[in-house]
Amino acid sequence: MGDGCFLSLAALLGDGVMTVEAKRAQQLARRYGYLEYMVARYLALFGQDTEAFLAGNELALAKSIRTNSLVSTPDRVIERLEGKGFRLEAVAGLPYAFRVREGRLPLGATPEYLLGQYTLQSVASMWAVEALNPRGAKVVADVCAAPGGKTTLIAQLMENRGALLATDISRMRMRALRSNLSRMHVENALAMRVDAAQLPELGIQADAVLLDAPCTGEGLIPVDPTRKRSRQLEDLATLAAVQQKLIVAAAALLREDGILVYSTCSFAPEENEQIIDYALQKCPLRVTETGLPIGDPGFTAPFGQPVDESLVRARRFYPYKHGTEGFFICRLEKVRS
Amino acid sequence: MQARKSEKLTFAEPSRSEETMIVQGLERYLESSVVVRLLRNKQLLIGKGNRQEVYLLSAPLWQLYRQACTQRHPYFVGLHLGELHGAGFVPSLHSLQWLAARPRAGVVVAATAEGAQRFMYGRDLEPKELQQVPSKGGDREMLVVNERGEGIGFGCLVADEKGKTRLRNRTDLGWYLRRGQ
Repeated sequence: MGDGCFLSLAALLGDGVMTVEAKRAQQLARRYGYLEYMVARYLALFGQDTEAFLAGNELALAKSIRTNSLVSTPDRVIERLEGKGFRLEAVAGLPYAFRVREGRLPLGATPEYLLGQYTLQSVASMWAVEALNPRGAKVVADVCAAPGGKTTLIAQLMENRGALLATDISRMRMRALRSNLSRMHVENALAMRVDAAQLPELGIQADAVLLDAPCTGEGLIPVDPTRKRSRQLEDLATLAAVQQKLIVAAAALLREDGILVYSTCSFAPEENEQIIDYALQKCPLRVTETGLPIGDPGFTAPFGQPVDESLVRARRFYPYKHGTEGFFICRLEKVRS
Repeated sequence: MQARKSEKLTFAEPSRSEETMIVQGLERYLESSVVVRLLRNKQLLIGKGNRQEVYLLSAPLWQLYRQACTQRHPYFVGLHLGELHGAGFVPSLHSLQWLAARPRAGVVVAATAEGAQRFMYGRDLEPKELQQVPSKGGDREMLVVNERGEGIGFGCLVADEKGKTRLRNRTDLGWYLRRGQ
């Protein structure tokens, strides 16, 4: 994918003359505090839903926790937390997940947290692991694993059986990964610091691979409003190049018929649908249904640029519609050669 | 105890004497039959660097290790049982749950609710904060549990100047907040 695929502000707004769309982008960008190019892109993607989307990003997302079935049951953990004044609400479809509706103590410092009975995790991240469905798998790989939120959920769903390869390139983040594996009682993981480009050299044939790729993090605007102004269009191009490299490396770790789940916390098609489209051209992969009960379909022609039609099976999460951070999840299967 | 800084470890299977040290160290906390069950069909590995970390791998994980680690060493693998220090084995926070589930008699100190909270802040405990102390603690390391019997760390029983028993904190679960982030 060349830089030409990235929709520029000029392309969106026209040259010189301030179009109606450009004026609208400027107006909304000022009202909600975004860089103008971002709103112009949202207008092109979401049309008349754009203002609802922007307003939704202003609402605080409820924190969520995941109880750890490796050491306790949801009922026991919730009983203990409710005894400390927390009010928790079950998340439909995720028996281990709860949204925190009330609570005065810091959730990341209770004895139950230190005992590994639960961890803080966004609901959208949990859905990414559910799309992978690692239950019963013999070998699973989590690429870009640190700090280990999704890794520990994978281990939980594998019931600490089989083998889980968790890789990351960041030295600092490996420490956090190690700490989380230990605190959450994970015993089936092999954590390795390795550049993704070297992953194929490991010679692994995994049943399932999760790639939660590094991204611009636009989807995190509700929890970190500085992201409204911190990223430029060039960042998209830089990250997309990394994501292309990562998805090809991740696909190389899969056995035939194995499952690859690609996810990001970005709204940008350049980091999502267009990466999958690239992977479909480079690797023996096909897009399958995620099996998730929520999420909007992926785009098949973002900004008028067609991508593989099977991308409709991917799932997009929006704060204003789904009550989660912005997220993208695509499930792919490695086809037999 | 846990990763103090990012240093490279070289992994190898333990020697006979190292294996003996590990088994003896575990038998200090667990009955021999429990240790046998814990180690059955598993592989021990030692990560050697500035420290000697002991890991326990299930059969599938051992297979993955042999496949993926021909040219590279892992950062962390399986259950981190503890470390070899001099002639002894020191258990880790990762193995705490295993040890607290079926401890040998005489190696457990139970803290009061308030004591457990203070202990997880890294504090030593006073006699009034201990509700169950083995009769023969004598300067040896103990498994520290809360009022529910959940392992919260390790410490040593020591007599103060008045002859009363205090608990000196060696490590506790609060490490995950203080150092593990």
